[in-house]
Amino acid sequence: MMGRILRIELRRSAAVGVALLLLVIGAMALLSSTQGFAGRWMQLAVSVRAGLLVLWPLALAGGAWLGRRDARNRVDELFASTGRPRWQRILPTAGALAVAVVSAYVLLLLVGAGWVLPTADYFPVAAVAVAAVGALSLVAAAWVGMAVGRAVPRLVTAPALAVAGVALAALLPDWMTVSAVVDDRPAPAALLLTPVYIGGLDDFQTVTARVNLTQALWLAALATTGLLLLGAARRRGIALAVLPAVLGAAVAVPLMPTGGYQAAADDPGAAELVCDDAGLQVCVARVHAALLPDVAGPARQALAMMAAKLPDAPSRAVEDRQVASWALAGQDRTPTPHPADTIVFATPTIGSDGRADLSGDYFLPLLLEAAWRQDCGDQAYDRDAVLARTVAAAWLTGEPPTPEDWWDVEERALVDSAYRTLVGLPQAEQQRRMAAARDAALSCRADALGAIVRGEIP
Amino acid sequence: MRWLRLYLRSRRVAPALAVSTATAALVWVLALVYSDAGTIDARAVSLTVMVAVAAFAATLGGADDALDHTASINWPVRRAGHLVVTAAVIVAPLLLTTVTDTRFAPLAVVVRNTVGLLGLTALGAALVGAALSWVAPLSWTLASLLPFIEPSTKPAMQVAGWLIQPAGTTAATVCATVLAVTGLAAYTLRGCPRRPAAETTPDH
Repeated sequence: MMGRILRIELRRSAAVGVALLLLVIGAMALLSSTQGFAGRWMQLAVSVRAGLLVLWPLALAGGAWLGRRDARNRVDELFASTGRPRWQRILPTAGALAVAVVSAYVLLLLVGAGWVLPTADYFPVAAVAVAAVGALSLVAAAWVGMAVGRAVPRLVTAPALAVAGVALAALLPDWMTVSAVVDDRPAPAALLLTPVYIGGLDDFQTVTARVNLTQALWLAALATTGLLLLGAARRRGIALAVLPAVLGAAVAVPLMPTGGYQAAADDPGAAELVCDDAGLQVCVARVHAALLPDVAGPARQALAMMAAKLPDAPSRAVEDRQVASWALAGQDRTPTPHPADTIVFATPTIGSDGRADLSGDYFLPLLLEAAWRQDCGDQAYDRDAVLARTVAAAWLTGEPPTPEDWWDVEERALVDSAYRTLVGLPQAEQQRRMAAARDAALSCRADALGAIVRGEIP
Repeated sequence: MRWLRLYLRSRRVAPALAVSTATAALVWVLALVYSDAGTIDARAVSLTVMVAVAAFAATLGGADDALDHTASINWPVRRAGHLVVTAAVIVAPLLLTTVTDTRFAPLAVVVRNTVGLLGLTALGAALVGAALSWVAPLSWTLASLLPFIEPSTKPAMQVAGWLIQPAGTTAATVCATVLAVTGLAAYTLRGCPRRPAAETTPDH
């Protein structure tokens, strides 16, 4: 009986329209920046969660539209006078809308999976949890929307509710996150009450089970409140209906970590090394395994160029697996120095197909400079050291350095004269100076590295 | 005068006016209290205008669609007038804030977003009826809030995010104008599609 009504509701109510709207808008938002998640499951889940910025308010509006149906058709009194319990009529409609919005969300994930599946090598189980919390949040939005639509059956209810939803679930948390970063303090834990993912997640990070579970608890409580409100007929019913959401928030907020969405955790599985041993060893993180074939060639080329000129040249290239500093607001980062036989290179740009985007010839200089680079923690910016690396990389290639567009006239002159001085020296002296500069760089003595540019003899 | 009074009442203009004015006032007060910037940004302007437009969407159709097509009254002129006056009524309170320290500005953006969104709503009303005409402006406005939609030099982005482009962006202005003109023409000539007059309450 219930199943038949559910099918009729799915066929004839606005639920399918709401789902189509979510799917179309969500897919447009998702596919306009595929390079953000291509090849990485966790980033796909997080991207769809970020898309909730639009989908969540639309689900609220869709629910409000459906909740207003009885009043619009003037059948409220008729239904109130029938001898059936109210929930018998509520459940199929609410169920149909929930099925519709969750289907739209799952389809959205499947569309996104088309850009992940071909190249992904690492599948964190947490990505499933992150996606599931998003689906649950849409159900909560739809049911709360239905309850509001039933309580205030006006045409403007749906759009106004959507705007209120945006303000509460996205704009306010975003503003709070930014002001917390500005004041250099952790954002409040209550930020995690919103299902919209504010800010980004580094490729080497994950969302902890604690966050996913507390969010699921709170959103399930919110959904329950929506459903109970929808079924409530009397004052006491309404009061009881609000209880789950209040209790859910009261239990969840103390369990949530502070820092809001910045409270992401390191993911050792993502940072595990995948190596190519056909020749000199080149390694990338497992989460970037698809980049390895594209990266191995340039990396070996760089290692060969170093071996040709540099004494005690490094023999191994490894991807930098530090979490980017923007993802670690307020947290201290401990440097992890690497040995002299290894160069650590920054992740190349990931293209929209999930492979490395090496266009623009930026990658080989980056690899060459990596020989004079060490993880020294958050050191102050040292211009001379940065320019010295450019000179050093140019020395390896044997070509004069190509000017960067951010250099001013003085920097250009410094680099040019440093390079000419260097190549004017005898071969053995060149090698000695560059090796000394390398020692300085590897032991975090930035001013000794910068000596190349200043013309001092190290 | 009597006709006008009856018309306004039958279209339930008073609640729409109340909602649009109250929204503008609310956003203005929030900006006054919580924001240091003198100008309310394009995203907040778009959201405010969108709620106002959605409130007035209900006034685009009457209780009986067939009545709105009777030939004895020159409906196209009245429909066009309705849209033009609505645009003016939505812009007026936003314009009023320019004399204060916290203002909806620049004026060009306010006017562009209002006529564009109202045109989109009128187009929706002509195609699917007044009751669902708010869906397109709501969706487009919410999509403009996505973090990667921003002022851009690319025409595709300028059209997709026309609501939040700075004043004087040609593609955004053209997009808003096209929406406004198409909506005005479609609604003026066609009005809302005729549904059977059922025992339903008018959309309010």
